[in-house]
Amino acid sequence: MSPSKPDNKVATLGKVPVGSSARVVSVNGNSRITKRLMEMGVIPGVSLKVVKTAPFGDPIEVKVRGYSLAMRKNEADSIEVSF
Amino acid sequence: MTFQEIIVGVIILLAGVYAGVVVWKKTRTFSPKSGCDADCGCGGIKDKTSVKI
Amino acid sequence: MKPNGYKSQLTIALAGNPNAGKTTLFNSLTGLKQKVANYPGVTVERKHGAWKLENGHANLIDLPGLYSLDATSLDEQIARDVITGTQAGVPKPDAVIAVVDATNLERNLYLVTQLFEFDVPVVIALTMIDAFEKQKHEIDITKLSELLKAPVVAVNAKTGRGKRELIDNLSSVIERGPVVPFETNGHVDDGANAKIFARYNFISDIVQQTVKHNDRERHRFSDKIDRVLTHKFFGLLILVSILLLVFQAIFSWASLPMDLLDKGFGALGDLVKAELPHGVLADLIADGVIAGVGGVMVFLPQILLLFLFISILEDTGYLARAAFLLDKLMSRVGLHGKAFLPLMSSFACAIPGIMATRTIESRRDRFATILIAPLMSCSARLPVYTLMIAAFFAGQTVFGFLSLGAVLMLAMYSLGICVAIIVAFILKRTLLKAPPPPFVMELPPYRLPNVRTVFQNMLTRAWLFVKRAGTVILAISIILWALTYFPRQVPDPVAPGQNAEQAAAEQPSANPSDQIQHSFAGMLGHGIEPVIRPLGFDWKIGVALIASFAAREVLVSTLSIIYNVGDDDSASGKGGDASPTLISAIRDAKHDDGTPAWTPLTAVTLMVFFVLAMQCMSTVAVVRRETNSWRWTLFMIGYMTGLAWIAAFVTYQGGKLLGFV
Repeated sequence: MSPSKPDNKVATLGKVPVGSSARVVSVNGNSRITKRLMEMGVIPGVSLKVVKTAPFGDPIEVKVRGYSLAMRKNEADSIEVSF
Repeated sequence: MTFQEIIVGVIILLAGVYAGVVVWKKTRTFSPKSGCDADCGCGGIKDKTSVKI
Repeated sequence: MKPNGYKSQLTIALAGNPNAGKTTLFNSLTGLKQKVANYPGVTVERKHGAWKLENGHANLIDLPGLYSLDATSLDEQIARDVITGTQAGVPKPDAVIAVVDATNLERNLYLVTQLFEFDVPVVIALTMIDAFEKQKHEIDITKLSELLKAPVVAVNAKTGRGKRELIDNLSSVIERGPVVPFETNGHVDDGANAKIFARYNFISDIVQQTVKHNDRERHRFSDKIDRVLTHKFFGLLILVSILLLVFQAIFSWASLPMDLLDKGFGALGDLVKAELPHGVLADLIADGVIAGVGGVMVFLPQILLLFLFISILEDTGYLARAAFLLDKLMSRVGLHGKAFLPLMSSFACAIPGIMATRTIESRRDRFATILIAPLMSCSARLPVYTLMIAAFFAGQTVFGFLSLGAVLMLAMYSLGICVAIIVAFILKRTLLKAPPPPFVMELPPYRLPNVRTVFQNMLTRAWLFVKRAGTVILAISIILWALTYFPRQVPDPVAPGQNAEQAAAEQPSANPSDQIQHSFAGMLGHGIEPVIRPLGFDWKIGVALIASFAAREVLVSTLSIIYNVGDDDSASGKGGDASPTLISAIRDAKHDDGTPAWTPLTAVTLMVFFVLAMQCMSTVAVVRRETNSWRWTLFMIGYMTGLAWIAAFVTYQGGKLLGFV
């Protein structure tokens, strides 16, 4: 069994530092917004990159499946990622 | 009343009626055929980016 | 079906993600033969047009941009109904063209996988191929078509590439009938989510087999621009600068054409007075119609420019960045993310903005947005701002290069926005408390604005402006003119040494200022004068304020009429040749005691008043309709008028205290 990399953390998308890539572990919650996020391609296994944050820290811009998506940290909290 | 005065009177009356009708129409529920306003047209700026949930 | 596959009238639906190039394709296929309205009872736009084929036309329906057909939002429900043929008034489509953005393949294909389940033949139109190829990616269209079991046609709306192929493929899929390339029904464990995963698995698989991405080029040009434009610190600064530049341009580029129009209408009025026999009719036409409508039409160049810039900003995708930059501010005051677009629309005209709030599900959020929408300075205020600025602040600069006019305009727009934010904040904390709403938005890549779209937009709105001037404003000008013309005052008594005919020839009507003072309009103006005196406004301005409740541009019409009535002798003292322009009339206007009626401070106060006051009967009517409550409507009128008065009071009195005149 290969040792896990030291920086292999699991957290919500909002906590990922700007410029890093992450892989989606799960999308939690049952609201319309989480369903919408999944329909737009944010599903377990997909990789994303946190591109930047807006002034005041919110919303964040994320690159996923080749396009740019903006969401508030609130929405990002429902997405669990490993990075 | 002179001819001119009659014409002017009619014009003023028509203007008043027109303005009244316009206002009255707008307070009614809009016709099912279109949600467009006679004054300001249909759409404003197209919302192409916020994701409708 | 006929042997060559064409029924007498085919119905084809266009489906696709927002920003996938669907509308551009629709426009190029239908040319100008399209109709826009709304589906019955909702604000979902219904767009359809005639697509010229060899044997006649097909009815092409442009569905709203969708990410999914799962019927959670209204747009999706309507689209589903159209595709399944259950939407009233719309025939079931014989086929669907799925517009897929090649630079955004995976997400775009999601919708396509759903389309396959609807028992309707599908042809895929692959757009943005040029951008795709420029980034040095490769795609195997034939293989893609094989795996999806549907024809894939690369299209370029500008060059017309693919149009022929689309038509051919449509007739062949219609003959063949719908084919489903894969099933999602097998998965049972997780219900709805499992379906989503299954679809994306299918898509990832296909994309892997057919697309070769050039990773180095992933750093798109768009991203590089975005680094600057949405920079954490400079982004907002840049937004403000761009707005300043836009106002600057609107102001300076429009001034020459406006001057020309102004002189033109003035000359027209003189012509009418000269050619038509003296009397009531000539006065009505020259001083009522031409002064009133012409006064507003003068601003057409400005309106054209305003909408030109709005269209360009919209088309390039910059407005999405603006929403991104401003969102935190908006959510802090509890405003819905979906409120951004209705509020932005309100800069053109609050009415479509208010109607667009129907997409906001929460009643409280929706009402909050509706109540502040009129604070976004609409295009009708532009003539007012311009008039004030041109009369008192023309030619002055700030920091040596920015025109003071542009800065003032930006200030007025900003004032509206700031007050709106404050009001929203208060409303959401008190009367309209509701939990903060979610917000997700796509940031589409920057695109060069499509010239045809931009001009189409601009001309449509400009035409609306002209129509409005020729109808509502015309009617109001006539009524207003009548109010200033009647009751007729008696001319000065015959002077000693003159006989009656001489006196009549010299002074056919009473002294102009006498006439207005004692007319119905004058009575109204004097009536409210006590209330507006503290704001630095005299009764003539009062009349104009009352009149502009009907429509804001009418301020300009009213002032034109008031300063023009019975003015056979030019007030500018040039021996009575050309009528004075409105601007010079304002500058020269005096109170009865000889002091100027208008000062720079008065002008600014008036602008401030207009930023905040509720002055548009159309908007009031629409708000009543949309909120279905007179209570909220009256509340809106009340709070806005109150705020306007207070702000104007503070501006004027404060200005006087500070030494401004």
